[in-house]
Order: sequence, then structure tokens, then C-alpha cells
Amino acid sequence: MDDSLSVGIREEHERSCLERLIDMATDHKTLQPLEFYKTFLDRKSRPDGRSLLEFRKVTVNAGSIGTADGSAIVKCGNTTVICGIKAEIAVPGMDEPAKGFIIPNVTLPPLCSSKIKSGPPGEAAQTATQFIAELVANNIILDLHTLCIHSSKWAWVLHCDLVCINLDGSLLDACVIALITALKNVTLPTVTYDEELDKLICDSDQKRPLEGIKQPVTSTFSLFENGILISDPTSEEEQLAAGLTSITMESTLVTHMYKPGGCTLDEKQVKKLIQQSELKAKEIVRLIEEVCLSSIAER
Amino acid sequence: METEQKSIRALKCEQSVLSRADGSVMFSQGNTVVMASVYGPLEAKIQKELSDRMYVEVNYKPKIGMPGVAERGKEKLVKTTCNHIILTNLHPRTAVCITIQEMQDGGTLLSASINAVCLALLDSGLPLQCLVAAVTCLVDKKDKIVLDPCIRTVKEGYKAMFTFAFDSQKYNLILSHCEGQVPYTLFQEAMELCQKASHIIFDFYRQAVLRKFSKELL
Repeated sequence: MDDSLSVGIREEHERSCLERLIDMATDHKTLQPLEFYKTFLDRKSRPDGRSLLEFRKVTVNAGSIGTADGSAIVKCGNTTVICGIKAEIAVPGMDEPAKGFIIPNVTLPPLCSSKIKSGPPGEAAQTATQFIAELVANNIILDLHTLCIHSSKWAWVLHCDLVCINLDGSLLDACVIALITALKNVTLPTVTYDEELDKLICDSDQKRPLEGIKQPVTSTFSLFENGILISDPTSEEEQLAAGLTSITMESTLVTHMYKPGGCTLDEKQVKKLIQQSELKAKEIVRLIEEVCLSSIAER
Repeated sequence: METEQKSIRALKCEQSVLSRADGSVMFSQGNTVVMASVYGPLEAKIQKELSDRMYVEVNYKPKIGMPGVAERGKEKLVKTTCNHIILTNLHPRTAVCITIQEMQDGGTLLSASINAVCLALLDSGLPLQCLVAAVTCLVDKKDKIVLDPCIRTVKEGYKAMFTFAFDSQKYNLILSHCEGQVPYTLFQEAMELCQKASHIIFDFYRQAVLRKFSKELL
């Protein structure tokens, strides 16, 4: 009886030691987040168990929004972005009469993160919108000439709304994947322009998908002071980092290296990041193509 | 691959142009003219106050129209660059307000803005970790790299346009912004060319400061 009592007391003692250790770790994390994080970095690991250059699991779903002309939902780890595309017809601009329009808009509602407040779009939403708008403007995703119905008369306008419902780092990565998958999912009715009658004839039964959609893929990295590079940071990691960079690759072409200030990079580090982005781009392109094939099969 | 233009356009600046600002500069790079002003350290609004550092605020004002999403993009790039070069830990719970006014667009507004802000920060006397020099280069449709393009070259169309900013200590990359696609070899070559050109800009900063202080001493 004495043995079982002492065993019981010892177990009790071990359990309370463990609880005390967990409390200490939580206190350390709250009071000194950077130090807490550095203890993981020193062992080349991260709190969620990933290695330094490992990306989170990406889940893509296409065509889930019935009322939109094209839609996609993307999850990169916990970061979730929904893209919905609505098409309308408008008169092309005077300076570019043979080009259609793709108008992206990234919204970060207050429900996605405790750091976002309600009100007009903040800096994060506006810079994300500008990033996507620049990708679109240089004909990188889609040649805007294919959206023209009749030069200087009618052209398609695609309003792309990207809404983030859960923000946990790597917003740009998720937005770009969502936009491309949604564009591949778009079906537009066939429209012909009758010159004699000056009328547009729209055939809603004959729907065709968009052609020539290229697939650039963005990879975000966090930079720390002593040359440590981390891929696909969570929002905690993004806050602790000394710098951030997002590299967009389309197969082997460097499409955009977005590095808004922050800690410096030398040539070797830039090369390493670009190689990692290329690897990720291959994986994601394969994933998008699988998803699009299965959604076409369902239709 | 030949480089058509191996050097950047003429740099000119006039410091302390505004009497009320802590630091100000009128900076021109070829035909691109930008004015930058720095006010700081200022009292920060309670919402923006940071307990351990100085809050950096950047406003970019275009020549025509109201600032829009594109201007926000430029502001973010300049703000994060300034957060790195200014020693923000020395002035906690204060703010610095940097304003960039576009005077004339001669092709390379982003790099001219960053260079102007660096000169204005030098003029203001805020403690800096290092200086920053930004250079823009363009890869035209025939794969030729043009350094510091003028607005005519930009309007003719290009494969890609890059803006890189480097620090003054090890000439490493602080900022990068690209439009267009190129293979990695061209990207690397463009970055190396811009890195070499940044030395010219750092020399220019040194000359500008020498001139300013020699005038004061006389």
C-alpha cells in the first residue's frame, strides 16, 4: 500500500512539474516572444514543427460559388482567401482600345484577424490590391487583348474580389493562387458584335472558358537578422521578423521580387530564395491543374 | 548582352529648402524631380504610438489627383525601407512624418523618392543605421539592359523594369520591386548593374553633405 501511495504522489508531482513547465513556456512566449522564437530557430525548427524552408499544406477548391462567373477558395495553412469573379461588358479606354479589364480588389474584413479594424481599407489591403493589380497590368496572368470583344467598342471587365476570411501570414501567396484558379474556372457567354445593327448578341447557353491563363506563383519568406530565412511565415512569425520578401515565379521566369525594405539580403541569399520559389511554383501549378481538371469534369 | 546606358542620369539636389521642416530636399535625377520633407521626432498619436520604437509615417503626394492605391504601394515601400535605416529604438513613443511630393515624372519616381528621402533624413539629423541608394533599370524588348531609363524609354514598352535599393555598408539588397518577367540570369545581371551604380549615388550623398557644411562654415 505504501508503494502505490508513493507512486501516486510521484505521478502527482510529475504532472504538476509538467504543468509548471508549460506555464513557464507560455509566460516566456508572452513576455519575450522573440527570445522564445529564437530557441526554436537555434535548433533549425519552428513552433508548428516545420523546418525552416518548408511550406504549409495548400488546399484549393474551384467553382464553389454558384452565383459568380468563376470562383475559388484557397487555404495556405490557416490563411484562407476566397476569390469571386463577376464579368460585365464595358467600353474600353481611349488609350488602349483593344484591351479588356481585370479589376482586382483585396478585402481584409475585421473577422480575419484581431489586428484588422473595421472602416475603410487599411494599408495591408491596399498594398495587397496594388500587388495584384501590378501582376495583372503587365499581362502576366492573362493577355488583356483576349478580353476585347470589338476594338474600341466593347470589352469584358472581370471584377475579381479577393476576400480573406482568416489571416495567418502569407496573404499574397494565397491571393495569387486564388486569383489564378478562379480565372481558370471562369466561363463567359459567347458574345458577337453585329456591326450593321450596332448591337451585341449574347448567347448565354454557349459558355466558353478563358484561354491563355498563365500561372505565376508567389512565395513569401521572412528574414531574420543573422541571415536566417524562413518560408511561408505565420502571422506571428511575420511580426517577429526583421524583413519580409515575396517572390513570384512563373516556371523559370522571375516575375516579381517584392521586398519592401527590412533587413538586407546578399546575392547568395537572393539566389537561394529564388530556387526555393521555383520548387514551390512547380508544386502549386500541378495542384491548380489537378483542381481545374476535376472541376471541369464535375461540370 | 550589351548595356546601352552604363551610367545614371545627372543627380542634383538642394538641401534645407523648407524653413519649417527638420529636414528637406529638392532632388532631381535627370528629368525626374521630387521634393521630400522630414518632420521628427514628433509627438505620436496614441493609436500609432509604439512603446519601444519610433513610428515612421510616409505620405506620397502625386502631382495630379488624390493619392490612391498605387500611392499606398509606394508609401509602404518607402516606409519599410525607412524603418530599417532609421535607428528607431533611440526615440520610443515618438513619430517621424516623411512627405514626398512628386514635382515632375521623368521615368523613375520610386527610386528618386527613396533617394530624396535619404537625403532629407541626412538633412534632418535623425540617427541612421546606414544610407540607402535606389536605382531603376529596364530590360527592353530586345533583352538590352538600360540603367536609369528616361520616360521616353519607359513609354516605348519593356520586358521588365526593376527598382533595387542597396545599403551603404555592405551594398546588400534592402528593397526590390519589379514589373515584368525575365529569366534568373538577366535578373541577376540587372541587380549587379544596379549595385555598381549605387556607388555613384553614395558618392553624390557625400558630396552633397560636404557642400552643405562647407557653405555653413564659410
